[in-house]
Amino acid sequence: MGAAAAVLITAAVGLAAGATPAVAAAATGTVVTAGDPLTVRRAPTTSATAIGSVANGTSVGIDCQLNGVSVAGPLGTTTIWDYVPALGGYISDGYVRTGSDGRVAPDCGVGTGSAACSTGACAGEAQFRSNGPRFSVYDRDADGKSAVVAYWLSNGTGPLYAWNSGGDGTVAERTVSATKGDWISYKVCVADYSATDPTLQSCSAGLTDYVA
Amino acid sequence: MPPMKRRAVLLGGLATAGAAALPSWAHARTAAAAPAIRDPFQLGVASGDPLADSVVLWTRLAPAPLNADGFGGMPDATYDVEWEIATDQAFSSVVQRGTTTTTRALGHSVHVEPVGLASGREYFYRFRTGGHISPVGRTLTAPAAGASVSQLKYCFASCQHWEEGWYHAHRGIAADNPDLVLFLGDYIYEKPSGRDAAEKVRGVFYTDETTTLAGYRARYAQHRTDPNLQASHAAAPWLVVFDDHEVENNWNSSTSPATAARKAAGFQAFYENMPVRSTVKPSGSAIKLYRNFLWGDLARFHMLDTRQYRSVQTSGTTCTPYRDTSRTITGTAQEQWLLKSFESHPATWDFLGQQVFFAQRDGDGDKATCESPDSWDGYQASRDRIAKGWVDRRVPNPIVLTGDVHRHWAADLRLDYYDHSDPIIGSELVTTSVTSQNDSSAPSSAWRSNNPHIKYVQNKRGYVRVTATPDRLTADFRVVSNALEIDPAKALLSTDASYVVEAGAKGLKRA
Repeated sequence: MGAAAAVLITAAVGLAAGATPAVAAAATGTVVTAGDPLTVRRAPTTSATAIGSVANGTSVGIDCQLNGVSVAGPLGTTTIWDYVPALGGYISDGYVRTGSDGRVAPDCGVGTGSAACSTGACAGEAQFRSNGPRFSVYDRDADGKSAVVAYWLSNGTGPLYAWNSGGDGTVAERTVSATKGDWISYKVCVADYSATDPTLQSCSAGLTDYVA
Repeated sequence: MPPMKRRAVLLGGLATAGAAALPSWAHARTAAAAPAIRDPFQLGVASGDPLADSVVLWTRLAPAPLNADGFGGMPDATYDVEWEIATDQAFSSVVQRGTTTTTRALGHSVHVEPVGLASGREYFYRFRTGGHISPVGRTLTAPAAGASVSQLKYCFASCQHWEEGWYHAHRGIAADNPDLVLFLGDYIYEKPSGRDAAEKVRGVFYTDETTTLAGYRARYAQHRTDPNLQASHAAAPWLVVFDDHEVENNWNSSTSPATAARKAAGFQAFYENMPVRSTVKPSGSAIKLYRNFLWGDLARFHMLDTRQYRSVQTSGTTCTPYRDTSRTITGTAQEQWLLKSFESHPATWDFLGQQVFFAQRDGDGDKATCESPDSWDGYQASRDRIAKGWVDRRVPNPIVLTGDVHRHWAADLRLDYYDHSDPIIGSELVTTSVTSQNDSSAPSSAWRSNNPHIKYVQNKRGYVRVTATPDRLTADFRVVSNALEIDPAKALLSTDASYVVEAGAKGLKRA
């Protein structure tokens, strides 16, 4: 966000057949705030869990970007969120000087660990961990519902479900049966638990990631 | 080793001249300028529309196939895609190779139309982009016009709702190693299944009804992630037509229920995702789907479009509109094209590959009441013109191939179905669905006695396998023991019934 500063955009390296690409930042930027640290979120929305902060002026590597909740920052108002692997989460692009008001990195879902919230207040939140692979499924609201990830695999199956029925404030780790390099597409929702036929509610838009 | 010589080839353009024993891809260098992507060959490969010197080669780049934007995870950039054709599966004898390009405007689909191939022979093909190499497909070119052909084995299928079963039928088709595969429509469905959870085996990722190009693209992409469907596409060239659900249930030539914009979106996604020629590329809400193919002196396929040009469906049981001679299911141009093609007889068998039930089905046998307005029964004058057309032009052995109805059927054809001794003028083979379910009850004995031309009906999932020779054709009605069972060791394929038609002698016989 913001075209004032010089910005380095590193082209992604070419791929050898069958190889998984090395993780390399697609772009870099500089955090710009009024002086306070900027909150890092697990998923690209202001209602997602705050997992840390980053100081004003910090240079960050951006792996990928997603459209999420609109945020008005010092560099403008935007729905773009930047995934910074070094921080383990997302920061609003309205606080990051990238040299562009638009997208500077590919869609998230690049094997670096993506995350999403159910719509609304982020009662269900989940992160896909490419190494494992597994979902960390967070329940963040005492709404009487479970948090659940509905996911689809490259063998034509899905939805499969990763549940957290442990209640508000809990996290469940759910492994996924998939092979290195496979894609996995998922939505984060809330639902009453059902082994076979849950009625999914407030699902996120859907995201694709890869098994490392 | 020097870089592989590369040449820009336009879609549908000439292929690089053939030469044997060119360097293997394993050592060749790529130089894609577009952003790096993960393995984009998640949708497999396909071929189709074989001619005597050419066959369409297809793939679509989609490293993230289910993405709701329909772009399959592809950056908005132009990608070079290399292709090669060999006479062996190991690609030690490459006969042609070239490079084409694809863009977001094409949904990053690839259609290559090589020419100059040898007629009536087997080839293998594959693609490469950004260092990724696709799976290998097997295909065939058609035997040349007039060439003596001793046998043709093809399979045909239809109706494969994603959610309503596993694609064991495609596993069976691939295992049959056919020369051709025909798909007669309802490859995708615009809506999620309304069935109970116990009758669904999986779900669509894009859950909205498909009305936009993005939605149709995403829906096709999800279908192509199925390993059995990929195997079936990779096994042989396909001849594909759509029916209604590729756009919207029971659409027709008018703009209701499907608007022009919705037709245009459905047609574009169909083109992008099917191994069809550039002649099938749509222009807005128009697409030239009907076309024919010759298989030496043995068979000719007339692939029809009974959806795009049809008059608005009638309703009720009063027969007047059903028999209105101004109404049409083919449109005038297609009807004239078909009748014209009936004038020549280059092959023993004429197969009409099309969508909806051709033979009459009149449950009460009462000529004063009519039914089934979406089938040829709803367009009886059209049916009469086509059937009389092939009789008058002495088409030697006409066989109609049909999908749509989620059941196997076999029927003989007559000009007057109410006269149970009227001469048989041909036969119809109707394939059941790959997965789409059918709740309706079996025809009663009274129904059967009112329709003695109908020889066979079976409500199971499956496909039809046809073996044609100069003397006879054999149709094997293949069934899956349980399409809701994912385990191939438990979902068994078998032949439920076989029927034979002798060349020169009309009518079905139980094999």
